[in-house]
Amino acid sequence: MFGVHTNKITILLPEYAQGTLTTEESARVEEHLKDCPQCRAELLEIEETLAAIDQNGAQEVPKAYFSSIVPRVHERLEQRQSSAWNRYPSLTKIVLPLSAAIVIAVLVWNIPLPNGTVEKESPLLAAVESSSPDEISELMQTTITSNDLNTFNETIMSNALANATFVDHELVREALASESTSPFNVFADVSPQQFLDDLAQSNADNVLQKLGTQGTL
Amino acid sequence: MSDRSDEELVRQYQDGNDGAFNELVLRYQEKIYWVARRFSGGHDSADDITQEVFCKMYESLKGFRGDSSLYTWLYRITVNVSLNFLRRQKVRDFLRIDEMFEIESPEGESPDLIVEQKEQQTLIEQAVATLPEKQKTVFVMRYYEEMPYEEISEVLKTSVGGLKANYFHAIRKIGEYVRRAHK
Repeated sequence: MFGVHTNKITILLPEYAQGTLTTEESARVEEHLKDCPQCRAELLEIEETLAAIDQNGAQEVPKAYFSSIVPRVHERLEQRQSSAWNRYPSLTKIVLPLSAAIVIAVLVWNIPLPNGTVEKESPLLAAVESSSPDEISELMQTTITSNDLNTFNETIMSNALANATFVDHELVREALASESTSPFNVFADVSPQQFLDDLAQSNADNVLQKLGTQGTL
Repeated sequence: MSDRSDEELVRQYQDGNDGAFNELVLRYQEKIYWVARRFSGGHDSADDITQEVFCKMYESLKGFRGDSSLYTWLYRITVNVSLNFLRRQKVRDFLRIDEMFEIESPEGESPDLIVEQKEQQTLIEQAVATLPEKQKTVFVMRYYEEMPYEEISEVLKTSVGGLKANYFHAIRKIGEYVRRAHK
């Protein structure tokens, strides 16, 4: 029988049933149980539940499974390392090599950079003086890729949250009801890369189509 | 597996020995898998989470300074990855449900398949999967991992009293779920 009868003693019932309370706490629970039929009934149900969970025990996992984890982790790491290049073919085939060539030319021939704004606005150029060509190339890849992903993620998310079908969803309600001040925080732990992967797996065309019909994308 | 300590293996990995990483994976894979399984409630999800945890370990172990034990560190990563996984699952489930009812998607998973996947979970796994995030986290940590409340309190930044209430409500809800299923 589950009612609204909860107090400091009642919440100890699972621990009491599992025998994990101190002697003093157990004595307090037993004292309470003497005069409380509702908690006695609840204790019975908790004991039944715990027995059901215990019986659930260890589920079967194929024996070969655990010998497959190491190679699959390495496979995933390799895929992850190559995914940035594959995701942006035009970026990787044209823009980056061209940019790297320009940067190298600047370094090798000591070509003066334009004054003022460009240097200040570009973290890539600011790093030129102290980096090797390889480091610069890598920095460019990381910066451009992460900037693009962040922009995309934010655009998608702001459109998604503005979309009525999303606003009705429990997830957004949770986000708004939580201590977070921004609904974006619900995705704070999801990297842009993960989010894009999710979209891809969830049929991104449908998502984009829906967002498109709202005139927001 | 060798009898080298975690600290030795971490040091060797930090010195560039990838074999030490493999050994750490072999050492902790079952523990991590079962934590992930209890959070996610199914083999496929647990497998995905387990791989992700070890990828994160590979990427972050160079900066591991040993402020906590390796397992505590890995455990925290597992909890975070599992919770992220569940949040992303909510987004995916929503999009999938939306597709099922509003947009014909012949290439997508059918409702029958989704139901079948749910049925592959045990009743208890299903019940745990339906718990609110906080109750689920406390339940897994307390019941399966047998962590003291004080330790859970440090990880989740919640008072011990609040955790006990979460644990109590988690067990109640699991019980209700199981009883409903048997009716």
